[in-house]
Amino acid sequence: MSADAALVTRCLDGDPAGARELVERFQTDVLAVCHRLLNNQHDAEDAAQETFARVFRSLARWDRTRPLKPWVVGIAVNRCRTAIGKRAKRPELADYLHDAPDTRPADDSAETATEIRAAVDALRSEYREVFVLFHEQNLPYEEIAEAVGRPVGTVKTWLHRARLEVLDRLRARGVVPAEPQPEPR
Amino acid sequence: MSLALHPFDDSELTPPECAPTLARIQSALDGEPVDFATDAHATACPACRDRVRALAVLLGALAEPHAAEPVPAGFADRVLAALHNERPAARRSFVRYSVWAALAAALLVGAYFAFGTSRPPEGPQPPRELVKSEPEVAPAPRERPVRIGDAMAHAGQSLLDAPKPLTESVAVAPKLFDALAGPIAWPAAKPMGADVLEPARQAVLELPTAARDALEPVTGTAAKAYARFLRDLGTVKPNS
Ligand SMILES: [Zn+2]
Repeated sequence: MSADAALVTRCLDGDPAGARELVERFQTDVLAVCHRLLNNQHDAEDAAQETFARVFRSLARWDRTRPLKPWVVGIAVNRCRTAIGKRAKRPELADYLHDAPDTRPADDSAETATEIRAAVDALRSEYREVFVLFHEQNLPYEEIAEAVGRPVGTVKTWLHRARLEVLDRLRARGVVPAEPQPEPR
Repeated sequence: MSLALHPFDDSELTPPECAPTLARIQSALDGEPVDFATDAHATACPACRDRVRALAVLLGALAEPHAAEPVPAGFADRVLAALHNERPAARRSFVRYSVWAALAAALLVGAYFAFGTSRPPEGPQPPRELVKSEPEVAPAPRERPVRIGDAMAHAGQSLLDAPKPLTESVAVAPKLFDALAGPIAWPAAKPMGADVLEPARQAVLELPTAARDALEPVTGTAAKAYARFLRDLGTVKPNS
């Protein structure tokens, strides 16, 4: 039995230590995904809590032949989609944008990071999800496909388009110097 | 969702001559070593030249080790507390499910008795004494496995036809059903004693072989569910 399967068995048997271990094993990843997709600490924590509630409710349906992490991350992505859907119905649509980092970037690299983040945030949701999961959560294509419930080919297409959009936005925003720099020899 | 426009949404609009360079850019972002110095298009095409430079910026930023968001203090505790508060409802619904399962089993037993005793015997009958002297054995296993749907249909009919014997078979563990009839408090302050659980166990053990045979198609699940059911009951306290 895999370590994942053994942990899930303990949770299903009602072992409280097992439940805590499962939360502690995935809480960093789940919170990071939620925070990155929702851009709001409070919403992210709510979504992460809902993710674990959903994980425990659905644990018996997890396919033991597959890794647990992408399944858990997939539930987190779904909770974020739901939260974004609810947010879109709120009248103060753009409120969450104010939750972005409140300090001006101190140097070029921080400014670049902010620009990249803005470029990623401007992506449509499917593109942003796969970009975040690949480049920030370091999930391989196969696990992203598991998490978002789409074939690997679709994930690659989305990610490739996401990257080009980010690059083109960085170009348009002047993050890249206009004049070609001499090649280092 | 996003308020931003997507001016570059349709990447199929990129000229076909850019495709090889774009493919190299993708490879670089997949972590493969790519040399753009030999890519003439990457120098000749202004768009791709900018993309390659933007790529260097992006790769540099992505390579920066970014500290993971700290987990809010007490997060796991809050998750587990919420889970604990949610559990009574889940357990109650499981108990409700189990009551139905127990009733279904009882119905099957009832059906067995209703049909087994009311159906007129076929063919010539042995003398009464012979029947009496025969031990009470279960009928031989049927050729066709009992389908649970058919069994339930029969059981339902037997409920209509013979409510009294059925009630009696359900009442085999009166304390158990009495305990389940009331609202349930969780977690248990005082576990249910053997005086309640033992008759229930006994009732199952005393199910006629025929009834157990009839349950054969669902034994795996039923046995596990019943084992969990009894285990859970041990920690259920009826509200009085
Ligand atoms: Zn080009």
